[in-house]
Amino acid sequence: MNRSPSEWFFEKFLEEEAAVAKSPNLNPNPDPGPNPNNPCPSSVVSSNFDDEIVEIKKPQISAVGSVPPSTSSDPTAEVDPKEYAAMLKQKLDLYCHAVAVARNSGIQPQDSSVPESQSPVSDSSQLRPQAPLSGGGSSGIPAIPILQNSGVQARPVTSGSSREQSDDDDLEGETEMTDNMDPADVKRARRMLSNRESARRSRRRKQAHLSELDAQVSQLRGENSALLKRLTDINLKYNEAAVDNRILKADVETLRAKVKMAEDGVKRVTGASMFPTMSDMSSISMPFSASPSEATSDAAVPIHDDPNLFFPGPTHDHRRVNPNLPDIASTSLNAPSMQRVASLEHLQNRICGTPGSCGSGSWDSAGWDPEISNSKNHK
Amino acid sequence: MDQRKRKRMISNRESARRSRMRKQQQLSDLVNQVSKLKDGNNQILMQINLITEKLLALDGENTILRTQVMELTDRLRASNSVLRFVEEFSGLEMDIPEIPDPLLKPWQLPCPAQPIMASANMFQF
Repeated sequence: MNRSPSEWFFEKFLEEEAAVAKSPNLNPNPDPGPNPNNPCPSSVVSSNFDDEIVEIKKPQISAVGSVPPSTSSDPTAEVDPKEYAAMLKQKLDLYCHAVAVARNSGIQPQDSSVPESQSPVSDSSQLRPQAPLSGGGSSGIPAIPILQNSGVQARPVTSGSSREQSDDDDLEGETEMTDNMDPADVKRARRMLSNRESARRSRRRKQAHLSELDAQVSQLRGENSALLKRLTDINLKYNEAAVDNRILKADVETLRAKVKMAEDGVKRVTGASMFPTMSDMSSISMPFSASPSEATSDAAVPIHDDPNLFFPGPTHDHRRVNPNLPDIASTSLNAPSMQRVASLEHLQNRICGTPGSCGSGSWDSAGWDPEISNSKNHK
Repeated sequence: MDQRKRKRMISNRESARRSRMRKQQQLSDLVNQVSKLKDGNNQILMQINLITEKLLALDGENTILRTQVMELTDRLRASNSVLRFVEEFSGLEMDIPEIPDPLLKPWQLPCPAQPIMASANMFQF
């Protein structure tokens, strides 16, 4: 027999089929009772599309040439091959038709959804009578024989992709089979059923886990590149800021030096008389701008005011000198003009040689201003 | 015939085992990758936070420095004007330091890019 394995297998399968068809009950049932010495022959036969591995096992069994498990009900009778062929052809047409009907009549989805939800149920209540399960299938009772046959016949035809669905067909085929078998086999069949269910579930879980990991990896990769971009941005900004920092520090230094020099010059010129230099230059608060602001307010006040009016001035002034940068910035801007007027006046005094103004200069309180010292001189 | 079947059965069993091994390997690779990526991401995040902190500190300092520069420039301008004035009147030769014009340094703008945190407009009104 140099037939190709699949052809041989098909022939053998049909032989089995024919043998069963001969059995008295009209309910053709391809699943021979589970054979004790072979762990799950029926599951192999009835759900040979479970997955590749099962398929691999299947040829093994046929390769080993173990006697096809015969149905417990009645041994296969010896039948004339010609009759076989005729019967086979007729069955084939019938099944193909049934498959077509089953496919487009939508019965098929019902299989895949109903058993899906039921499988855990049947799993959990192992010993419950079969009624609910078969009841589940009741919706398709009229079509059961066809479904049954198509289920049987369709299996070799359905492609791998619809494997999940064909798996579910077995479920129903299975329940039919357990009705007419003795309790021992029923228990075994149920266990086999639940095993198959759990196997399927664990495969699905594993697959879900795998795809979930894949999704996670791609998501993390995206995150990774985004973070890297942010990092480079921040680095860039940081470097810029560092450069600015260095430049600013240098500027401040040079400016400090220059201001010191300039203010020394001014001091030299005006001596200590006019604008006693108050706090040292390094402090942020500008001594210079403090006195000019004093000068401005003073200009508005008529000269002959009594001195105590000014005393509160300094305290008031000090308060204003607090590090209130904006305020200082503004006053310092309009200070030079006023200050020039004051210095001019003072120069005239110096030129006309009236000493004594320098005494007041030594006062360190910011409050003293030229007018007072002048008025004092005149008295 | 039996010989052929047995050989095929053995080879199938082998290929099954190999495919299981491969699948297992694939899974563990994925798991490692996920953990590796997670660690990497956390590490980068930490770095980002660190540098952001430093950047903010630096920006603060820069803002202060800029204010100082402006202030000192004003003072310089003020005292220079006095010196120039004195020079005019007394004819004394005054040594007037010129005011470093912030615009001279091309890279150092009077008010460079808006600092991220410290609001520069706090000083302009």
